[in-house]
Amino acid sequence: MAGPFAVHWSLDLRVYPYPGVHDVLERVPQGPVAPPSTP
Amino acid sequence: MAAGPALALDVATPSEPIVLGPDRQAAVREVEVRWRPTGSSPLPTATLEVATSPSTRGGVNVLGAAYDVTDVAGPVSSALPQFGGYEEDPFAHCRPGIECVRRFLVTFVLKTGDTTTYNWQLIVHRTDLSKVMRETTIPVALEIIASADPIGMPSTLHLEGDFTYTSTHDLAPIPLRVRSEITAPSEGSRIPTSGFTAPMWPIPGLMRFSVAFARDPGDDAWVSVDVDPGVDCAGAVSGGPGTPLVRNAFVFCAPDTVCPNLTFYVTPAIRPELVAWPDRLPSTGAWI
Repeated sequence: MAGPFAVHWSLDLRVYPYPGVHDVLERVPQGPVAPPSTP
Repeated sequence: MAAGPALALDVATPSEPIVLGPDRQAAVREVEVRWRPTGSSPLPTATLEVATSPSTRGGVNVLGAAYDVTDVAGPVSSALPQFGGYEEDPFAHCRPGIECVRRFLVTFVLKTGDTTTYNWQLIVHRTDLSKVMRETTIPVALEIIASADPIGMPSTLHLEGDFTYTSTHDLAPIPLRVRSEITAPSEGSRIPTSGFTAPMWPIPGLMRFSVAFARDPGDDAWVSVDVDPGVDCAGAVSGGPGTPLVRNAFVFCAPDTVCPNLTFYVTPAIRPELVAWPDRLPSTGAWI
């Protein structure tokens, strides 16, 4: 395969809580996401 | 190995089953190790071991560790010092002739695998055989004094993206930063008495990564995900749609490594020989 190809990816995270313990799960803001840079 | 009262070289907690699996990837216990001298009992010397069974079939699936939390009296804001098992003496801080109680946080983290029941014990291995032979009673006792297992509905986070690879220049990893943090326990929780250490407990965080190609790229391209720090998933997802990668994303993060912020690197890859002709593919693309 030499031509372009499309990819769809997904990442799911789950954090299970301990009883009575508060947990946090969030994406850290990174500002605008730049396209991949040229090496 | 259970305690052997005849010699008492090893003294252990009762074997306790714990269930670890995709929705229960970690557990914590607190164990009190008590040395109660009688008469002229000499100060013992020993080592500690966190034993789990089954543990080594096809590699170690469960990481067990012990941390001395005897002196923890307030919220922990940095990594706990891991107790060195065979290299350290749990009675090193005790004094001859005086009853000594040490508390240990014992943690379990499932690296990967289906739901399985594991039996665990914290074992004190006496290394002072000559002293043991002179004892008429067993002066060392272990007791599990508190437990915490994750249970209930999880916090969730979903990230996804599309990209059209049209240039071999576009192969830089895409960083996705995620924060996961366990904060102070609420009032009245049944947690280890040193619940101040909760922020350092293992994070039961399940990662599921999947990838789909709009059309089959054959063997020329694939996408992998790496997690920094600690979990090497490179190459585990490749070649197009297939079985999703499911594992504990935080396995090496706590409590001996503080890493509430993880970075997932989603990395495309193209067969090396195609890199020789970058002009064949114009560059465009967008990430969510």
